[in-house]
Amino acid sequence: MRQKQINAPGAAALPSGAHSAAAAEAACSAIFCGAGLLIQKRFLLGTVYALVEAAAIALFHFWGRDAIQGLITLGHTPMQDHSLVLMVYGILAAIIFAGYLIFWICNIRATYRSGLKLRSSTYRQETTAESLRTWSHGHAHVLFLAPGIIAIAAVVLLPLVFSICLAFTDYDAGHQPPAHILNWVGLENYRDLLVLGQYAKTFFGILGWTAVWSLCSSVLPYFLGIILAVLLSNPHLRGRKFFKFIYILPWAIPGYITLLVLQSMFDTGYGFINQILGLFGIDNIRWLTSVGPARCALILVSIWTGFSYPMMLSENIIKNIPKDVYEAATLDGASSFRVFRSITFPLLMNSISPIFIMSVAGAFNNFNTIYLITGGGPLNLDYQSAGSTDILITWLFKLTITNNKYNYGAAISTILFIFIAAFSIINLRKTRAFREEELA
Amino acid sequence: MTTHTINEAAASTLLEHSRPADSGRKKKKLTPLGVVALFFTYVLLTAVALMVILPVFYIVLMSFNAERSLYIDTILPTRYSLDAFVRLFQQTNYLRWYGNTMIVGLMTAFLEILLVLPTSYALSRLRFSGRKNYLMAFLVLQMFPGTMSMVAYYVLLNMLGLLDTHFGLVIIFACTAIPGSTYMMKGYLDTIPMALEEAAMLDGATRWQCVSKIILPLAKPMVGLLALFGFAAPFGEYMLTKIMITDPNKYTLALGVYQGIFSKSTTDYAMFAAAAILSALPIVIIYMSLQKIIMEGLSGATK
Repeated sequence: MRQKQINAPGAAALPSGAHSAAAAEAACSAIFCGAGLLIQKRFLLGTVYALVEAAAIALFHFWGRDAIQGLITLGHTPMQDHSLVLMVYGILAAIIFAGYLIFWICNIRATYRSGLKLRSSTYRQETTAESLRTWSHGHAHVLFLAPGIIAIAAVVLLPLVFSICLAFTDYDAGHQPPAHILNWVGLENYRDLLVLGQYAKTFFGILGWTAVWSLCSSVLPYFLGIILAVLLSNPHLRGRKFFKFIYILPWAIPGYITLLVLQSMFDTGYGFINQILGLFGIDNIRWLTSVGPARCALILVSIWTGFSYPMMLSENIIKNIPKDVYEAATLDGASSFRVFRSITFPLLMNSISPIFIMSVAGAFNNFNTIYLITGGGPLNLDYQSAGSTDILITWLFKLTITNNKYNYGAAISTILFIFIAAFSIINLRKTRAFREEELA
Repeated sequence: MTTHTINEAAASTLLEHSRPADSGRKKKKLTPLGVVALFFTYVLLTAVALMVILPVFYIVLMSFNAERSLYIDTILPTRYSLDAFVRLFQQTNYLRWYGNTMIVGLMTAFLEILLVLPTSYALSRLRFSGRKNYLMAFLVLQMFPGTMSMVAYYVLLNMLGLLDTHFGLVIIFACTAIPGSTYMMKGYLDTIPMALEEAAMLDGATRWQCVSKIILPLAKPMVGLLALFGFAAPFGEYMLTKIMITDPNKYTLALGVYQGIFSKSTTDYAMFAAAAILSALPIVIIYMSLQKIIMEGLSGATK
């Protein structure tokens, strides 16, 4: 906040016509970056801005134009043009020029502001060193953010946009570059997936189980974790450290190892679990090969692997609730249940809910558990290359890797993208932690 | 002067943390109802502890099994030996996988911290227009799993000639972790009072001095935590690694244990158990011994 006030033109009186003059200079900067700044005799900054514009024009002329064109046509001659490569370059160019557009807008704004500052009554000439310092002070965040943003743009954003683009092409086993040139097919893949025949049936079947799965495999571990944390906070309990040590184990063991071990324990004939159940006269539950037990097994596994983290979090939150709140409540004669209901629980929920929401989104995409425990099986003959325990993300993996239906895989990716983004934004906006951040 | 007060403040919070939860409250005498509640508490806690410990116990026993197969007639092995461990080192490239995983893990941790620190510092300490948009974007971006973009990763790494290299894996692991890690780090930095830097600035400290003398030392637990998560990433990641790495000499542990041992047509189960234990051991030891620091980091991030 403070910095903004320093940079702002300030409350100093402005002569009439200052706004229009500054706007005119801003317009010059709009036509060619930095032009307005040069008119204002801010030569150093103006030159730098102008050089950036010159570089951008050169980049566009020698590379960007072809790259964008490649993205539009996806190439002409098979074996010579590689549609996927052209697509990557095209998206890269689009991202770079989007970045340039932001720079262009900032340049106009900067010119306008500096025009106002120049004409204000309190203005005094700054030395180059001084103006460099004010500039770097106001733009420190650019420097700090740049490495992270560039990395994210290249490794997260670019692949994401690429996947979204693939969803609108005919990239599958029959059309593989460079032997074939890909074509844009519009919404055809979505029509196939959402409306037509077996794929639509599979999609909605899997969507239902995905919803059930992501709710169960996030709510139940949190439920157990919170209960354990509350039980552990009982002041009369002994051996708290010992219990905690054990409860943290599932979190500390690398995921795929846990999953492989548990998978073998669920084996029908010789698995540890069925052998133990056999002692109680329960015979051969086909954990991994029939639908109901397989789904139960998955949810059990998700509880096993998932409860440690919420337990640790809630334990920590409970520990950090100020003691005097409890003392006041006890003095007022509140029962321990009442204390829990009115103090511990609301505070706990308040802190834990944003993390819980993220874990629902995480469960939605819990590829490893499904893939390593059941592999999506048992196979469902009503489904198109999917099993009864497949969730969207494992189905898209199968479609992509096993069936080479890259376009369908990408279309599902895009649908997932929209789901997750909408779900998390809506929910996070509601949580208090985030609202407080917005006020900050 | 300032650093001194910080340390005192840190020490007092640490003390507060290490005190058991109940010490502030006076222990009430147990009512009969309380005794019953305590009894059921023990029953429940023990039951859950048993559930957790059984698979661990089982896999440890299986690794010492003298027979190779999972398919044994008794519930637990009857004859024990160290053969599985010997076979693991003789018949597979286990040590090589281990080394690969360590290299990828260390490089991931390093790159991730390098990229996360400046970003989170800016989001926590600097005020600029569009800051909230960045936060929102990071929050959303961290929720997209790598599986969604696997075709893109394959094509991109192929174009850069990084397919089937460890460096390619490192880039993906480190960069995809930036949004989430930045968010955690930003949350932690927010808990360090701004007044410390303001005081130092008044005393003439530059921004860089503030970062290196105040922020970095105080953010150590979180830096350590993120480095640890980065280091552990290749230990637990299977799917992307499988798509990117094809050369058996470049396998990480996850890939080696799955491809080279677990999914063979006749699984040497004892060997798998041995490999699983040895793979999990370092991460488990680190996580358990750094529990306190980890909790401190996590609780800072959730505040």
